[in-house]
Amino acid sequence: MDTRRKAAKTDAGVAKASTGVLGLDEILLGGIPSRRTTLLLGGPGAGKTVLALQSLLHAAELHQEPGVFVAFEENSDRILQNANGFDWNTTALQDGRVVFMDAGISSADAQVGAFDLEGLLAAIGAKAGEIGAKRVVFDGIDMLLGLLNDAVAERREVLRLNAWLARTGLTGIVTGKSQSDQPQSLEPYEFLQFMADCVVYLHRRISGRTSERGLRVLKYRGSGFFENECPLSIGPHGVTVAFQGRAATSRGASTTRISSGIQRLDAMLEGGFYRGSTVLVSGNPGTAKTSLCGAFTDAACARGERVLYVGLDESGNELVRNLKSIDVNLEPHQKRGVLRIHSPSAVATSPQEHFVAIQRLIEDHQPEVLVVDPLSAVLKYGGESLAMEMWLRLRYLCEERQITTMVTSLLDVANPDSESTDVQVSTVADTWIHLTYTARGGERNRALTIIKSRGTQNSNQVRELVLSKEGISLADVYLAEGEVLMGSARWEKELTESTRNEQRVREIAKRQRQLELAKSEIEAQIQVLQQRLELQRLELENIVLDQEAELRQDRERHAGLSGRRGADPGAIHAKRTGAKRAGRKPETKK
Amino acid sequence: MTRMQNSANGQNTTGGVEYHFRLYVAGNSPNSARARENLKRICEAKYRDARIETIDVTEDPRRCLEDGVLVTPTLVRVLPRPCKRIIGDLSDRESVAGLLAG
Repeated sequence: MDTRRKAAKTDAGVAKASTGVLGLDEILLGGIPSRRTTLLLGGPGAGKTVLALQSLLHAAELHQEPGVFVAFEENSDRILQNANGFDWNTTALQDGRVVFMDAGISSADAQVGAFDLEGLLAAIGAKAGEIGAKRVVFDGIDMLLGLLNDAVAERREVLRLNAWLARTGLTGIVTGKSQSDQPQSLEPYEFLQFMADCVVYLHRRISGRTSERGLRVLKYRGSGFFENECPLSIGPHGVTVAFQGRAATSRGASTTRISSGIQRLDAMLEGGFYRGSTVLVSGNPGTAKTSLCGAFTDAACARGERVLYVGLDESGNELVRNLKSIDVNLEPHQKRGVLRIHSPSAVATSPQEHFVAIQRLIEDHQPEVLVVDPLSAVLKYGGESLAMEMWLRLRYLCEERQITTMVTSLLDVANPDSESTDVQVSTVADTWIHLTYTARGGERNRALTIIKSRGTQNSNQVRELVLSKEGISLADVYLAEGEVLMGSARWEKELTESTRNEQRVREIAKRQRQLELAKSEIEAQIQVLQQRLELQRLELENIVLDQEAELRQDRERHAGLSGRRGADPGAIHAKRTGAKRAGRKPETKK
Repeated sequence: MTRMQNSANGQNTTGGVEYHFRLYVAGNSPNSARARENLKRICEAKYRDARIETIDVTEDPRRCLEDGVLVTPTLVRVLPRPCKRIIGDLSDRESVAGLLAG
């Protein structure tokens, strides 16, 4: 018991053989069990034969494991024809590394009594030995078992087959048709399932007008596997399974911002979108959702990033042409190969098929940016839950690869219950930009609002989105009487505002000039006063000099008189003063 | 390798028509053993002079691939033309006899 539980816990004990089917190997954590039997069940047209042959060719080409394809149902010519419809490398078929064996029992053959697979297995064993086969496919075992028409005989032959596979050590795929959604309950498959080490169930359902294919692993002895149903698609490459592991969610959130391609919008978002985040652009038709996608694409390509643009509304050429009118030129990016535009028909294609195609393109193109315009067209068919699942898968896929995704959606915010898928889409998105029309004064103007942006203090304000020959820009809007003004109304308002500004500027200039004048006037007055002051000072000096000169003359006259009359006390005083003066002006002494 | 059971040269008991039957078997598996026995009885009763060829798939698988016979036991009426194939242990001898004659 203990050892069994251990074995079930770890995959180490089970050697795996790659199927080469994108997604399936991941679901099976590496592939089908090597040297053991895998049972592939499914309804008609579910893709069993294609998947089996695809894996056989893959093994021969990539793993040097030749194989034998035993066809019980279709004859090998038909299967070969089908194989040529895919873009597979079929050299292994031409050089005999993969061989077909028709084990079909012709309707012309009569059957009398019981038969068994002993001879068949001997023959296959011989063939396998001859080409050194490592793999074998038994396609359409139900046809054979149907002929046995006896539960005991069926069981016996299944046992025989299983024992033979175990003995030969071939990695086997056995396909069988089942009509029911509950393959478990079907005889003889119940026993087959018990015998097989791995059981994979394929289904095909019609949902609305579209056909949906899916794949689910029911059992894997000794190995873990992804249990949920995954969408399956058959395209030019054969079978692809859309699978995103849980590991995808455990990524580190990027802190890098990338430009939206519109400067003003980047500013509103504190630098742009986070790398690897999901941006939803919603709005009615004609609100310039595609223009926003175009600007974002252009900016990404200009940075040298690879972009995958999935456009469902218009063809690639139309898209490029239309975006040129607003100065977004994608043509050079397309020519350089950094931009891939994929425009599949949105009509009657199931979300899985879209998803698988996108997944394949992501593998091929390895983009850093993905645009899906509009996502609503991708999710249109196939019911709500399916659409939601596809959207989540797409998001996980992009998150895992750090692909920044911009999707558009026709979303009526005023009536959010109209399509709950859209509401769910917006819940999942990291950034949600909503575009609307405002009709006023005979004009329709586009308005942009950032409804949410995780990890960003985004601006709540509404901006007018202006598309012109010069490109895309955002403009402020005016609120007047509780109404948002855009277009001409905004222009008028802007004009009034700017006139008022000009007036203010003029007035300031005038006041400045007046003050300048006043200042220079005062300065001039100061100058005049200073000049007057100087004059006054000079005048004063002159007066003093004059007075002194007068006094001297007076004294000299006195001295002359007293010399003639004889000295007296008054004359002594006068003499002293005269000595002083003699020091100053010696030449005048005698 | 290949076991042959030839009857008397060119002679048969059914009015000058030459019969050639080839039985593909897988060793001594129960179905194959029954088919051998049943064919033997049928021939004893109706096709005494038929040429009976038995091929053991487990011994000569290549031969089966070439002949396009994969399930065992399979009885092939090689002659007279057209070729006919009967799959199974031939347990309903009446039916087999009828099929071989037609």
